[in-house]
Amino acid sequence: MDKELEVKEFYELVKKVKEELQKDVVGQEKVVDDIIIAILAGGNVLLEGVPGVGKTRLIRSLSKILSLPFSRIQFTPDLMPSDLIGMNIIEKDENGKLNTRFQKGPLFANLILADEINRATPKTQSALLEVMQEHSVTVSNQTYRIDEPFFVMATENPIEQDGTYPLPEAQMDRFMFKLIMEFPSDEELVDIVNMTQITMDETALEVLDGEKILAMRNLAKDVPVLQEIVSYAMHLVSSSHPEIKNTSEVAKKYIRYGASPRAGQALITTAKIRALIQGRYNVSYEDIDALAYPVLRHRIKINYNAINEHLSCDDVISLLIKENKKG
Amino acid sequence: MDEGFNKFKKRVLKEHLIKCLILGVCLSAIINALLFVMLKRIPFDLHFVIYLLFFAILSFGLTYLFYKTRMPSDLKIAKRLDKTFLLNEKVQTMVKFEDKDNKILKLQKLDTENNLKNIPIKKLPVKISALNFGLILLTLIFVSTSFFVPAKAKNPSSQSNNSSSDSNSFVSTDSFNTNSEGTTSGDNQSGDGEGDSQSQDYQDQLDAIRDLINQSDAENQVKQDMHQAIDDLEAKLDNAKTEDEAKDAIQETIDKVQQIVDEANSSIEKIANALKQEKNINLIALGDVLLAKDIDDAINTAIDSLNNELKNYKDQELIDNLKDIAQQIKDALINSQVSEDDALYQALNTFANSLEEIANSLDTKLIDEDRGQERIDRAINQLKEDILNALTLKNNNQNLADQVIDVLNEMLNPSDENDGDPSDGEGNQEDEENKDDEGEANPNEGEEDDENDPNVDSDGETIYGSDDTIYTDEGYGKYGDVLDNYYGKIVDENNAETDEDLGNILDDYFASLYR
Repeated sequence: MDKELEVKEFYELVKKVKEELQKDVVGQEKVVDDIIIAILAGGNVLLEGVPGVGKTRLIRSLSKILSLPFSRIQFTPDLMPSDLIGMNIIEKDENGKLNTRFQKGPLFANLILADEINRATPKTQSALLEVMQEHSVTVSNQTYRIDEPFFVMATENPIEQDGTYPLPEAQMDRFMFKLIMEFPSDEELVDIVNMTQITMDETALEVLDGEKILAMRNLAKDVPVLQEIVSYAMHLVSSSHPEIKNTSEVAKKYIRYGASPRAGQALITTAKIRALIQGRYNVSYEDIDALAYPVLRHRIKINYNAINEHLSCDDVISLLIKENKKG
Repeated sequence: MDEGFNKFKKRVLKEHLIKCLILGVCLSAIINALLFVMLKRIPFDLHFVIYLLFFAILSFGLTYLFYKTRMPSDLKIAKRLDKTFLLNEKVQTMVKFEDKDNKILKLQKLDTENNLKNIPIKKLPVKISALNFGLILLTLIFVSTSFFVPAKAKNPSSQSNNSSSDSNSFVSTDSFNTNSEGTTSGDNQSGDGEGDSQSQDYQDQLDAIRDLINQSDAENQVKQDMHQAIDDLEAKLDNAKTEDEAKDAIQETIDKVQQIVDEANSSIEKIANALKQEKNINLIALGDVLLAKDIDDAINTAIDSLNNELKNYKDQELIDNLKDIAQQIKDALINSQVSEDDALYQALNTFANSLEEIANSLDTKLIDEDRGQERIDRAINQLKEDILNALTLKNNNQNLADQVIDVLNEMLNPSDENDGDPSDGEGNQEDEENKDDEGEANPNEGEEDDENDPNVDSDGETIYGSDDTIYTDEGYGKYGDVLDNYYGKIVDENNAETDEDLGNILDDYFASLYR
């Protein structure tokens, strides 16, 4: 297909996805934009928000729009890894012979909703590690690939810490974005109530499918990035490490652990998507700055100094960006 | 590259050219101004056209050099456009990926081109920094200042052939007939065309002064200052409309000359007073001796006394005292506020440095005490020589001033004005001698007050000292030299022989003329 048409179509499709999402989710434009970017970039998303802001609804709506096989997994403390992955079961064939057959778990879908992921035990959480990174599952030395596109959308509640298990660093790093859903404004609350009085079900319609998503992802790969911008993004990531020689003052003062190299990859990949969504054909510094927050906030660990000065992770990221720009 | 980018590129390059032109022209003007000042001070004259040519060539060369070496690249221009028009790195991406091709890149280029085409070129602000204006201002200051730097006066010594030692004869300024070889100046001064002849006389006298200065052994700075004073006088005399103005100018110059020498010679007093403030008794004694202006023995005695003091010290005591004395001398020199170029200053400073060096060498055991004492002795001898030379220079300063003032006084009060006698061509000089070859030292009548005139004895006869200056047709010279030459002529005429009696008579006569 002619690239120009493809780009036009890309833009139109994204617009449509947003419109459909907004039928079911009031406000949260920033979250919606970011989630679309993550999907098109092929990344996993961790959604954090207080109960009732629409995290699960958003992802369910998304699953309709993307018309992808969808699994919803409610994470509970008693959930086992095999509940997610699947297991070998023994069954009799027609001849009465006993055979083992692998019964696929709910992970074998294109879109996974891991609801309240922090309620499951670390053992269960780590079952997601392989699938989130490699899009495959290994059971008894047998690897089962999962169809593309594959996304894991997880939700967590920042308030209740009792009976929850914080996600390990390795798993956090596998989420491309961490998005925070803020409490809606008064007007948004009114709209939510008005909408849900009519129906509680999601009304979004199908817009994309797996093939289109993959095509859009391929298109975005060709978006050019200046080498200076790549260096800028990588420097932003490395400057978050306090242990590195000549690192930033912000990192030395406020950060305990910095972001992994996956953060750098995520920044560039998502920046290309963002540029296209905004109707541009090249990545700019502004893209990197805007995406730094969802990419870095779950990868950086702030230290006691930051907590003492009432600085959130986003505040520290802002300081890092400022310092980088000066340099 | 596309049309949109190229239009901005042209604009940026024009701006770059203007900046390079400003830089090139300003630097060239500054270099030219420096050259102008340097040549003025040498002095060396160059025609105005040469300066202009040099300026033009240098301006062109520098402009071209800056233009080529500092030419902004396409990427730099792109960065500027992105920043100015908030294009989110579109132009930079277009430029950077110019050689690459894929369909998205083509779209990117098209999109950027459209953006640039729609931006009017005037929206790109001209970027000439304040530094350029600062440079222009600096250039104007440099160039205008260069015109006010005074040119060094050319030494007129080549103009005058007069040499006092060469004069075989003398002629009084006002002439009267003598058997001088030279021209009789006749009635130059009196007579018609008085103005012109007077100004010619002034010129001759000024030239003669210049000769005196050049041939003198006075300090260079004093000579330079005197030359400057004479140049200023010459200029004033040229502009003087009345005789009174001319006389005022001459009187001013007399005062100036004395001031120059007083200033130059005041260093002795200043240094001497400063030495007297120090703790070391021998330095105080040296100060006293300098103040008393006793030269030779007294100075040597004072310095020897210092040497003897040093000989009494041994080991660490010697080192400490060497350093102490050196420091005291240096402190005295600083407190005296005398120029470092002054001969006496330099003599004492060199001595102090030598003492310090010796002390350091002893301290670090580079030399032993015997060797140290030898070096002290050498330093002491050098000091004596240097001080004596410095004092001699100061004397020479005063001698020169006296000679110059004598001539200036003659200009101020030429002989026919002084004695009121009708000019018969009777000479009268400020210095006296006009001399008959009858050998009668006939002082001009009315040469001021005979009673007060040290050149006049009780009989009213003028007595001249051998160092007294007289004016001859070959310029000013010492009386003693003139007589020597005259005596020599007489002897020559007699084929190097003189009758013994005649010789005795001549000897007696000439001896009587010397003070």
